[in-house]
Amino acid sequence: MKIIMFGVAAFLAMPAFAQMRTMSPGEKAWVQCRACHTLEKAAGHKIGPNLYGIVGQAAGTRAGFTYSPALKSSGLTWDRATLDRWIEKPSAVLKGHRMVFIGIADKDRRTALIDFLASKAP
Amino acid sequence: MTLNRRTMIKSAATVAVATALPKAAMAAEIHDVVVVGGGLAGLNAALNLADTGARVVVLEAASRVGGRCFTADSVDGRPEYGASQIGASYARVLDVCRRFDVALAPGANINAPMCYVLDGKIVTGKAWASSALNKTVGAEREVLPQAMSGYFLRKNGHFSEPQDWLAADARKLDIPYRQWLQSVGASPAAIALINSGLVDPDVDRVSALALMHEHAYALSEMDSFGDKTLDRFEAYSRISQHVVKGTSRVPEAMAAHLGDAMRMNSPVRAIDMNNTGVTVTCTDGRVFKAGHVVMAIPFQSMRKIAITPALDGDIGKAVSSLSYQRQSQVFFHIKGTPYWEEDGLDASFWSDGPITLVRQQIGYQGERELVTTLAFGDKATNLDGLPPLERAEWVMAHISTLRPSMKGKLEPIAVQSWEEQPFVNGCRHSYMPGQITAFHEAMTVPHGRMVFAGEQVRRLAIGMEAAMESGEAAAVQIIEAV
Repeated sequence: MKIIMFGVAAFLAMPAFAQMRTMSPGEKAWVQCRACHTLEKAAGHKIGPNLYGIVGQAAGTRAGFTYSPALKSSGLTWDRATLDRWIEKPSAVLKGHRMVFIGIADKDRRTALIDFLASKAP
Repeated sequence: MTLNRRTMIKSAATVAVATALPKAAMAAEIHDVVVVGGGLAGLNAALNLADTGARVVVLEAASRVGGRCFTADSVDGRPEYGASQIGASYARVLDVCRRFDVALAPGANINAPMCYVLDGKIVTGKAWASSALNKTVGAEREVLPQAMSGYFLRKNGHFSEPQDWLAADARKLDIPYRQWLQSVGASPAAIALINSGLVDPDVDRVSALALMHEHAYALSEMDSFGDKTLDRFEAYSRISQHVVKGTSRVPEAMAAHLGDAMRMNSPVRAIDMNNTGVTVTCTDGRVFKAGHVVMAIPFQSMRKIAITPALDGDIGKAVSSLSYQRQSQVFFHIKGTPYWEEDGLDASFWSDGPITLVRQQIGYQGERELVTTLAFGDKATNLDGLPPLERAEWVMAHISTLRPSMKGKLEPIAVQSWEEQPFVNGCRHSYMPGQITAFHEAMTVPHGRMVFAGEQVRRLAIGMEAAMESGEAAAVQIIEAV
């Protein structure tokens, strides 16, 4: 990416994005997930299930969510390694799922995202 | 005094004195991001950015938001000029509707079944396979005209999931649709039927790859959520939803939340970028400065904006050559005794003539009050040669010739053509053969301080969801850079 950010302060009366909250790399990556998923404890499901505490859990087991038959019977566990492969490209892990997601190609971004998911746990 | 956007605007003069900004900057509004375009893409980019605390301004040229979401509120029956179907996988559209309490209900764009008019003669769906008007060959004969394109796409489907269309080895399908149809054994008659009903200009001027992506997405929704016992079109319209009070309510709710970030009636005339930031100038001389700009308007609208430095390379090619579909619509109220009971034929019809579709809408309470006629591509442009009133009268007379039971049963209530719509001048984009290969990727990456959004910058989704997805991606590109 080639966005050049230097010199903006000389032009704006206050620093650019000064009011933008500080976001970790994982929180930034989460922006791509939040239309489909909630992350806070006891938040409801959207088109995808709530993911509070997801790291380390068995796949297809959140109460109150209708999974695809494929995911429900997959026997997968959302350990970090599986999450990493899934977030990169869901269909490389499982056929017949319903997660419409283009994937994150950058390994560091995936790691940051998984760290962020892991932080939202009991 | 706390410096925020409001106080900065009011005290621009004080700021200028304090920091010796050049005179032009005294009158400028200053933000983190300028979003050009208040359709779903621009609004979603703005929402995602505003949610992080970034200071955003959205410049919309028209006096309404929504772009190609356009509910005709002033027309009886409140028809949709644009988008109406919210697919089962449209996660981002569903999310904003939930977030802003925009009521949805099942079903979308449900129309009465069709009969067919070819060479001026009517044939029913049941009689199609054995009709002499049906010149298609072999198994094709069982396929209804409006389903012919989908028949070949499904039979020879390449993609197990929608994003496969972006893979390098899919590029070999970036060829004229006609060529691909011939390669999979479509007869000349089948190709002629597909050509006649195409929304894209014609089978030579649209990429097979683009159509395959759209088909793959719709099919993936059907596989995930659809009732496989129903006809594909019926099944699809039943897993979709519609906005109870009209599609425009969605962009309106997003804009309401953005509040004073919105600037209506603000067409852009120039965008200047350098290593310190972006200066966006409206046609009335108002100036907006920011660190970044999101272009969420049709590329053909962008061609009217003086951008410096000029966009060159693949993105320059994209902006200068991407074309848009044409769709000319006339809306009629149905009156008198039901014409479809009089002639005993299905209430809608498909035609190979100057008007491709005459659709009788079935309302969500079962009402049968509205007929919409649709012409695409060159047929739309030809039709638009007539001014609106004459156009409606011509269409009415034409329909009455094709189907006499409809004579005297139609009352024109609205005329709308996307090619004539100010600031839009077309409906959705249309990829010509080779364009995806030439410049799709360039559209999906930032160019200096400028990022691109809009349904044309589609990645996975189609329709309204593609617009939302592109806006989200544009916001992410800027968030990641900060």
